[in-house]
Amino acid sequence: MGRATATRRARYLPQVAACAGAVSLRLALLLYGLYQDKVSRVRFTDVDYDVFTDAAKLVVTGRSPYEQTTYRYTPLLAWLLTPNVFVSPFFGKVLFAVIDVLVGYLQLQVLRRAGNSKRTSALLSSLWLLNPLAAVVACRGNAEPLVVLFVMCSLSALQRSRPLAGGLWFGLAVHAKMYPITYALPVALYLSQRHKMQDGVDSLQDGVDSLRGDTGEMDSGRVCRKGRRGFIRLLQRGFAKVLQIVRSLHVWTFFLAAASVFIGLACLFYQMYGWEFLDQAYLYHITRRDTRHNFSPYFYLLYLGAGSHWERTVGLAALVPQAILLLIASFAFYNDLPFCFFLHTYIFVSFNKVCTSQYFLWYMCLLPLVLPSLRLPWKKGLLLLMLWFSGQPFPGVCRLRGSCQHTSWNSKDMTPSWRSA
Amino acid sequence: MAWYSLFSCVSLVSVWWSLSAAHTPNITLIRTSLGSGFHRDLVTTLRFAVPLNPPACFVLLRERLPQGAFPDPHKLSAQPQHIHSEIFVLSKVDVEAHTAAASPIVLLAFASLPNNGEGTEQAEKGDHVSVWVPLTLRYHDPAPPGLHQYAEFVLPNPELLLRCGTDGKQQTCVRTAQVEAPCSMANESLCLWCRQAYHAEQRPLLFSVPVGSESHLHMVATMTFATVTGCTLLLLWGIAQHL
Repeated sequence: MGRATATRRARYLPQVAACAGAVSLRLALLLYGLYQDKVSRVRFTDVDYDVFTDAAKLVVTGRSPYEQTTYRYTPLLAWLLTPNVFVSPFFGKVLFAVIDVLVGYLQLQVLRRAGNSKRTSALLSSLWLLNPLAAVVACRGNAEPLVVLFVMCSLSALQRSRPLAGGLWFGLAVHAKMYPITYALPVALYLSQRHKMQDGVDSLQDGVDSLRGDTGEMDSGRVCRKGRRGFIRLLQRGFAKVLQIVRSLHVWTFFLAAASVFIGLACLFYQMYGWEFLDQAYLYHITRRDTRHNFSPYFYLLYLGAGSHWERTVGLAALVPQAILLLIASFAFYNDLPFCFFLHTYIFVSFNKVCTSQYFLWYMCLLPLVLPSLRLPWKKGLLLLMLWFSGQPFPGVCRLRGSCQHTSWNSKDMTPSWRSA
Repeated sequence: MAWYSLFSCVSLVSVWWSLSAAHTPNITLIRTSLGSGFHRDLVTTLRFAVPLNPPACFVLLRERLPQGAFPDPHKLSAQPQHIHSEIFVLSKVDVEAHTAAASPIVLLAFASLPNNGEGTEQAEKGDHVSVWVPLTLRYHDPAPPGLHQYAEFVLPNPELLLRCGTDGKQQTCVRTAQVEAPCSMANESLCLWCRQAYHAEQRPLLFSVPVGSESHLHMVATMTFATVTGCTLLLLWGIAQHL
């Protein structure tokens, strides 16, 4: 009996070690942050954290958080951080650090359910739990771990075939940040594929087969008929897919749950804060042109074209590659949701007009989930990792110490920053 | 006659010299911009040849920041310990605006004299005050082709206002030098202040901000388009391989 217990405990050791390491790392960073803020003129705490705290102060006095300029987030965040006013300004950082560790724990669960061993799951989730970038972002008071948690909860629920819970978390995630809306199509395809209603689809499949049989007997003009057949088949498949989605109960459950959360919160906060809530929390992010954050490949082009007549055209044109890639990736990989989410997020962030270092967390949290299914030689993986790091020049490294600002001042012109973006 | 002319000249020169000496300000302004990059600390120090009399006298600097810079609202509370001043920003600050879209900003800096209720470690007698303003420089428009890739702007020296006496409604200076301004950070009611001349130790600060170049436009547009298209095709090819 004792031996069995010891063996069982030994199996959980890697997971416990990973979580313990994560907690220790974040605790150390929180304490270091207190120290740096006290002794150094360059603060460890993110400027956004001050914005959140100021918004929480406004909310506590019954005012709108949007009276705080540059507060462009959900009011839920300001409400969540009201203990910053009542208890301690440190509360929010501790909360984000705890959420960060929770994300790692959810990764462990998802990996285990996907069939990975405890040891492998712990090792993979350590890429997040012991990742200094993720830990520093959370401990500096950035709110990205919150939306990452919502996404992970939604993914975990979908993996357990719980579309209602998945939809609720998804609605929260989209309310907090808009980028998870791109997951809607692959989720719909995933749910409809796994829970399709047999009779409707089978009869449609019969129709497709009969059509194929009729046209196959004719000899003349074969090439033209093949091309036409292929196009017709594509249309039919597309139509079948749409029918599959529309007729899936789980799809309806998921999206109704998501819509109810999103619309419910939107109505509540619109009632409380009016048009300014919609403008600052949503519309601002759609039309945002920010040339100060230079990880985007478009930043220098948008800077040169600021205020010109073609700026709007470039802004709209930049959406095209994003949309094409997201659409095709949805149909190609919807069966592997974690990978599809990862690819979607990576495409969204990389091709976006605005890209800050916090955005990397959106897909980094999904990387441990996709690694087991990757068939990438380790040397190639290492090379890709080094290439990724080489595109994170001085500003990215200095962020870890909070000792530098956004732009590389010391370059004589802006071209070196743009080339690294 | 010659003696009379000489005497007149000497008298006139003496009178002119006396008048100049009377109007030479006994206040010296020293301005420093600390740090490099887009985030600077602007430290303004005023030295009084004739020390003021705290707590009866108060010092106010009225700054007019040009479009190229703004006071960092998040840093204003993190003041260095050796500087005692309070900043009141009168204009709305848009921290994200480009220079062309930004407006000049007016701010009031109430400087505390040592022994003026704040206390210092050294027993100074009101002979100097310092004001600290954290500045952030804005992005400027790209330079036209062929020009230097730096945009420059001058930060004008502030307006110095003094108020002595607890009664904020009367001052001893001439009416043209009187200015109405808030009495203090805590008391927003208006007091009468006297505009004071001073001698600036150096010329107004000049800031150089690195900017892009319009001559890069075609190259940047081509390379951005090529990069985005190339990456899109690469990803599509990778997806097709998988299928």
